[in-house]
Amino acid sequence: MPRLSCWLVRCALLHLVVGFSLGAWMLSAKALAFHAIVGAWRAIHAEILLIGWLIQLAMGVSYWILPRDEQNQRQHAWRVWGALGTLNLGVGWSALGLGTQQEIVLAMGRVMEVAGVILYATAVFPRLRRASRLG
Amino acid sequence: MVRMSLVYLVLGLGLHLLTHLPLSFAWLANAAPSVFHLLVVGWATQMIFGVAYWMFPRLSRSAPYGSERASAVVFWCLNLGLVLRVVAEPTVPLSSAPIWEALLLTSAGFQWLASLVFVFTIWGRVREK
Ligand code: HEM
Repeated sequence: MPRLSCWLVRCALLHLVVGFSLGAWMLSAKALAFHAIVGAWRAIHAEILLIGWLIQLAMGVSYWILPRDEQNQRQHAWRVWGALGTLNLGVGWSALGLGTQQEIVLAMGRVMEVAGVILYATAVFPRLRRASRLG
Repeated sequence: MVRMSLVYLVLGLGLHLLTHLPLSFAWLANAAPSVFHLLVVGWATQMIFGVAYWMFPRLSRSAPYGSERASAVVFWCLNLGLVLRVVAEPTVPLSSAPIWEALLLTSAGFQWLASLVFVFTIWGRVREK
């Protein structure tokens, strides 16, 4: 597994633990009828698991198993490092925005998440094009 | 795990369909979060767990997939936890019997444990090869 995939997958696993912990806490809150205090945690839980866990894991594993192209991977590695940084910062920032109900902070977080995904997609796209040309 | 994830895919989409039919069961009306989680936990996350155990870099020649006992703990905790959630979560608001609350708490504990044991066991296999 390439080093970049290792980091994407490790960060995804950390999001899994945090997201499941929040989920388990919210489910306990439902059982013990203090559900009202769950509030914004629901949306934070969703953000962490949908983007930090599911999307980030898919990015890490696909970077590893898509057709290789050493030259392209060396050339575009900086984009995927950028994607790792912006996606994780974006999830944290969005969670902060959701927690504090600051629309501007949430919007900045979401922009970082989208930037992360775009950086990733533009880095791996040439690998697919080349592979489909080679048949 | 992959087999179970496919069962949840069918079950989740089937129940999702039921929640949209004009049936007047209070239980079904309360079931929306459980049904959604059948798909994201039972199908997507469990499929990822199963595929990761299979294709992540092997640990060693003698125990390529790590501890089988630990992966069995993950499997049973995740599935028992999820089934308990689907049974108990929609029932808690409808019944005053404390058993449903206890089952929901157990469900939360099982799913949480599954995530901890999974991450603990797979962490060493996330490495350059
Ligand atoms: C990949 C895994 C998961 C994903 C993608 C996910 C996603 C979500 C989403 C999108 C919501 C709705 C948020 C909203 O209404 O704003 C939600 C709610 C919730 N989740 Fe999860 N979740 C996951 C796993 C879990 C787990 C493992 C648990 C418990 C152990 C859990 C417990 C809850 C609870 C209690 C709610 C609130 C339900 C309600 O509306 O009463 N989630 N989750």
